[in-house]
Amino acid sequence: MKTTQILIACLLTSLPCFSQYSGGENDGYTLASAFGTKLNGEIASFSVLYRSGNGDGFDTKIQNVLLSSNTLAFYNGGRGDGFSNYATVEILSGENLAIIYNGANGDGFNNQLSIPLTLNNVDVSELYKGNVGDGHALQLLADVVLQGFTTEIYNGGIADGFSTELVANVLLLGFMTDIYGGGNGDGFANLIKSENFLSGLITQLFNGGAGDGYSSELVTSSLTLDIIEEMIRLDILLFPNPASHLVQIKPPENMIIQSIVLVTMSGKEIQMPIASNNTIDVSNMADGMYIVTIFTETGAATKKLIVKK
Amino acid sequence: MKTKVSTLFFCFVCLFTHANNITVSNISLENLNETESWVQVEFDLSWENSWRLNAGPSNWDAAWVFVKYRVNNGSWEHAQLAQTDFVAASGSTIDVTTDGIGAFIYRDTEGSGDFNLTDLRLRWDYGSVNTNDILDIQVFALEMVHIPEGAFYVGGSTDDQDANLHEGGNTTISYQVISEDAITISNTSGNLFYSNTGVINPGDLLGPVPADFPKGFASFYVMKYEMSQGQWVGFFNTLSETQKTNLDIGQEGNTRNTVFWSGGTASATTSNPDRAINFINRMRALAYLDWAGLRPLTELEFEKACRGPIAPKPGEYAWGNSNIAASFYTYVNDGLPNAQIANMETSTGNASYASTISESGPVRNGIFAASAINKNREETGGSYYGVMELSGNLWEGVITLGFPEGRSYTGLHGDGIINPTGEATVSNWPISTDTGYGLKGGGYANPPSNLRVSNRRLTHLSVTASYSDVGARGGRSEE
Repeated sequence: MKTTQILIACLLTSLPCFSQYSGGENDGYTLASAFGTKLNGEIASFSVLYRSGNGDGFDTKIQNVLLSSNTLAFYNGGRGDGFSNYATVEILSGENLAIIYNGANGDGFNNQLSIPLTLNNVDVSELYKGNVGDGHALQLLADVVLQGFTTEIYNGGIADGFSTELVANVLLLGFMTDIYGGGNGDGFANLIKSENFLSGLITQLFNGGAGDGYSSELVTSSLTLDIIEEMIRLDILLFPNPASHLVQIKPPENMIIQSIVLVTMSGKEIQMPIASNNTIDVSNMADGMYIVTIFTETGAATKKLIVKK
Repeated sequence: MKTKVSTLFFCFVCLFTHANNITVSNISLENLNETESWVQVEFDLSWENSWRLNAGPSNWDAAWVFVKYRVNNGSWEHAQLAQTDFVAASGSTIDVTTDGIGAFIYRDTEGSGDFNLTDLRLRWDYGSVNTNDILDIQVFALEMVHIPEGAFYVGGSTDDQDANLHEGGNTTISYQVISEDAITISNTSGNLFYSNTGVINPGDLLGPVPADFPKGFASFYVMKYEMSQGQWVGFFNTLSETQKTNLDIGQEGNTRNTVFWSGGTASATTSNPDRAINFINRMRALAYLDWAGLRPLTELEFEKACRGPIAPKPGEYAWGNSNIAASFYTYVNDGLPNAQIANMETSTGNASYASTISESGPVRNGIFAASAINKNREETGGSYYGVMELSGNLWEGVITLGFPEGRSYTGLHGDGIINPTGEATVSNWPISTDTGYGLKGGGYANPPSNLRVSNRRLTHLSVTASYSDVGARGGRSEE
């Protein structure tokens, strides 16, 4: 009995029982929908053809479709959703539309048009089929001739999760293992290995297309040096940006910031006092863009800062 | 002995239920009354860690529920609810507001834990909708916290916060709000005053603060968490293309914002719906609150939501004292609904600010309550009433008493409708003025002084620009 009392007392002392302090998953908000209904409660239409969750790389398409209609948009993807645009007009009567779309594991895309489709007497019933986990697979049907020309049924392009370009006039000396390599299922993975040895003029390492989740262009004539500077630059955080008052600069562990200089776009240098917690106060600075040079014991790095009040 | 066993069980229940998971499901339209042009919207509603207390804070949490609909794929409209012919589930109370914009649903008796309600019904006066029209219905639910009527103190007791409020004539005495009557701004005993010297300009030192300006004495509701990315997307996707264009944040990938909109008729998405939403300027915040039938809090209400009726302590944060963690946090499952912090500090307050964040940007709602070693007010960073993340993570917009455009605010609620260009349309809101709307609570990028309850460093900021450390939180007067 005494032990029980002590146990209860300990729990009451150390663990206040306020449910209001027990937060958890999915806090604070919910939304639920009922699409395609009528006032009398009847389900009025074939309302949802496809619907995904937020942020999963697939744009939502919800549309009320009356089955008596002969215009039916099966899918209309948006830019940058990892899925190309596909909209068609189908006549529902007299056609077998058993499978318009059939997704596969993990790849975010696997389109299969299973109805018999003949172009110039060539069976092209399978126009495209993705592979597991890659976000892209090229299916080029050989010997498809349309109006006298050999035709690529599909080739990667802007905004489809795959677009790579290695331009001409690239001069490489030494050896190079990987400049760019995509990874499983991510649509993009950037890889610059430390053993790369590059010199000379490299105008474009990678140039992504609009909406494919990546767009970057590194233009340099001295890549080896810039890679080192880039590594330092990326390890120093500067936030918020844009800023109106205090700006926090967060270097890697054991790196000490010695001084900070702001340079206006007209070239004027401003020596900034830095606080012990690595903050600078820009509340008295005019709105605009500045180049921040951060001097450390091991070198200097630059970042852009926008002041906006 | 039976009482002790029950108490012990209660403790264990509180210990192991740390997920709120507010959920609306099974929506249907029932009981059509064509003669009077109304129908009942039926749905189930549940969330965990609900509470109603008859002692201490003597408050409860609630769900703010409102309904949007569209006819034959037209534009989304706000559903007008009625204060009759609704059906509350057993154990619950439904308060439909007099303007019919939404309803508060909460426990009808003291208790805590899971709150599962089935077959709730709200009467929707559908007006001119035809029975043959095809309807899409969306039911939204926000977790709210009830703040009871009562006197409270504003300002500090040591005059060490930027422009903190105090009683006139003595900078170390807090001012007590004892009614909704007008408040005189004067540096004389018995009146409210503050300093406007130094680098910031928190106000014109003029008054009075009119009787219609919400002062926090009267009861009100406040959002339990800061506005989330999921909330923003839910709102955004009901807008027209023009409204979307004008309100689009366009900062995907910057400081942990994951909201993406490709333009046109596409819907916006977010990969982190539970994370607080940043880059919320004044236009975006007021538009959301109008659309949701809520209103901005005043800076006085903000301080009450933090400290309740307890006298101010020097340098206190929303959790009631001046203790604060100072080590960088390690995030676990970051980006997932169950994201947590692995190295929460004990016996001190936890919050997202410059000395604790390990990545520039806000954390998800409720992460401190979910991660705290001991689920008490201090370690979870909760306020006296159980409102979360009032100090830190993101600055929150409030109406300031420092300028005429703020003092003219009368606390009118949003009506669920914004104008065609995406602006709020409520009378006496500081919609198109550069003063009247400011910030409280501090953000992830700031020093600890900005997180303090009495701090007024940015109550003057117009917030026309989009800042990476600014979010929003709304409320509503109780009727």
